[in-house]
Amino acid sequence: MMALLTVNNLCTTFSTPEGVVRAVDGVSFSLERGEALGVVGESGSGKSVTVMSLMRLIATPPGRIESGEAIFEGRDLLKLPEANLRSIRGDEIAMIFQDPLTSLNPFLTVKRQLTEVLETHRRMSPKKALTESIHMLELVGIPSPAKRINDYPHEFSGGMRQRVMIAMALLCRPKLLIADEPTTALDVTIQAQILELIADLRHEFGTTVILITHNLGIVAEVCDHVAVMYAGKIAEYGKMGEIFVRPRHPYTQGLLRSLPRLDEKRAARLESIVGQPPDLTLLPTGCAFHPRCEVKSEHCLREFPSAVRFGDHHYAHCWHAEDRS
Amino acid sequence: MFRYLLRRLLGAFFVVVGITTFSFFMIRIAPGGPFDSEKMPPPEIMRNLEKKYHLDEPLMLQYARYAKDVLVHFDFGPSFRYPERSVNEFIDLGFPVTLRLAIYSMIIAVLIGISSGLIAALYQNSRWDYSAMAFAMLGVSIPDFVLGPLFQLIFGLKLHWLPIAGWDGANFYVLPSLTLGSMYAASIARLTRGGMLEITRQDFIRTARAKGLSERVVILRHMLKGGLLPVVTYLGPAAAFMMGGSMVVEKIFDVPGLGRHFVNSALNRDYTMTLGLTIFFSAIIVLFNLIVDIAYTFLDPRVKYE
Ligand SMILES: Nc1ncnc2c1ncn2[C@@H]1O[C@H](COP(=O)(O)OP(=O)(O)O)[C@@H](O)[C@H]1O
Ligand SMILES: [Mg+2]
Repeated sequence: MMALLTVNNLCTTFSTPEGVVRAVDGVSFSLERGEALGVVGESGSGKSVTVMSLMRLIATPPGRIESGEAIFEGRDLLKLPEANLRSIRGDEIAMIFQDPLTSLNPFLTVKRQLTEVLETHRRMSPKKALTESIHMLELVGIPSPAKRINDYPHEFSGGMRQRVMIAMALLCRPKLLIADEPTTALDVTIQAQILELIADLRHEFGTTVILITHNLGIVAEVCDHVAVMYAGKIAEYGKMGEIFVRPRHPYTQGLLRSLPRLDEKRAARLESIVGQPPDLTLLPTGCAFHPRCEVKSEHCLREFPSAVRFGDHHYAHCWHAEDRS
Repeated sequence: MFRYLLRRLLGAFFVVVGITTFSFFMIRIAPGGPFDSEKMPPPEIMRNLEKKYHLDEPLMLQYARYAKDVLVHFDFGPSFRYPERSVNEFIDLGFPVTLRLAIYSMIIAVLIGISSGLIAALYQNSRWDYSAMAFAMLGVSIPDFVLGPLFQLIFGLKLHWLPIAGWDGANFYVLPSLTLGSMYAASIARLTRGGMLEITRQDFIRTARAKGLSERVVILRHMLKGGLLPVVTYLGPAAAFMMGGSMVVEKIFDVPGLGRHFVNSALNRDYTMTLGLTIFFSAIIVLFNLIVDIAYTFLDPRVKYE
């Protein structure tokens, strides 16, 4: 079966006063229909820029998509005329953002912000769009949706607001749902509910999902594939289970060690990866991770590692990936 | 909502009471009197005059009488200078003219200001942006008393398109309104540009684009309301200041408005007139601020009536 989305060698740069920053540097991956891909990495690793580039929502200038292709059902999103792309956005590909408070328009009612999606893409009458929107709010678990739909975003709690965002994204039953850190701005208890909701709706609608987070624990709950990003590149990619059981990249291993584990004594200290995330304007030579790496060799300072494959769907960019199995 | 309105109106009333009190005593502190001149009138006449205007009574009694007349009966009393006419008569005659001038100037300011501000914001850093902002810069920095004569010279004397002075119909209104409106147009243009650029950077605009809305809908529906909020805040005081500050333009174009009487009253030491017009213009400023605050609660749903 043909993949829903195939991204090849995506490069996005920003021109900043400190020089040109390669925020996304040669990212490639492929998504099967119905799959859920988790993209993890510390903040600043290029996760958001990757998906925003796919939607061509990068502000230009300062941003620029330098190269690459993103084939979505046979169409290259990066070369499509603006009008065609607009008819894909919000319809076939929808997005949820990190902070639902700032991502919803404070000046418009929820009703206005939901129905306009259906009126734009489905050419629905306002009345039909309203019925449909209320139905969707009910589906994402908003109590008395017919009444609440007339409220403004600030009148909802944080969790409810994110449910509104999710409802808005799902109105047109998108083929691909991109969720960029959908729970980072929420309370821990609410986080779990929102993740559960995304997982449920994904199965109900058969939606393909890209879930961005800096927390591998969240990926484990929802996703079946994982891409670990570091300094604008994919460091390791594989099936969820394999990544958790046999991580090959020292960065992935570090991320896993920094997860709190339920099966361990509370005394066990959380290990986090030593050192700071890299400054993209002053990237180290060779493998960008080497200043923080415990297993680096002289080779790592000279040359960026080519992919080392472990079976069909698992690879890591590390010169020492095979050493530790 | 109703209780909010009531409370705000009450607050506004007390502000006006405060202004009345303050102005009344301030003008008493000012040295010199309305009847001072090189030739002092004989003491008998002086005494009669003082009796007529209750100047012989204790200050507190004068204040109580004045405050009651102004705040309860909206009566500013007789003019010191023109004893047979009341301050209210001057207001009745002059204010409609001043108001009309202000309305036209405001329409010009809003139309020019918002459209050039929008163009500047939507084509940020283009030549449109630069020329709009250059004009705005000129607009705020050229004072009325330079711009007015300049317009008279160009459109009146050189091109003969418009009359240079007077107030006898539509073509008389153009130059004074343009002169008075241009400074406000410039400020509105800058506020519009700033407000729109601020909104463009918001997350919810990215959301609107991610929803696949057309650029037209993104701008008209998602950006305008928030982007023009700074302009709305500015409009109230601006409208009030336009009315209170049109005296220069009225003088240049010989417009029979209230501003001229304001200036003359100060020069003539016509205390009741100065006092009355000060209170009148202050009340207008208070009123317009109130209107803007109320409009704000409709425009920005996050603002609560508290
Ligand atoms: N508007 C911008 N201007 C300049 N640099 C940017 C901009 N947006 C992102 N970047 C650069 O791209 C890098 C990756 O950003 P991002 O994709 O948002 O990280 P994250 O993985 O946390 O989502 C940042 O570290 C920053 O250097
Ligand atoms: Mg991000």
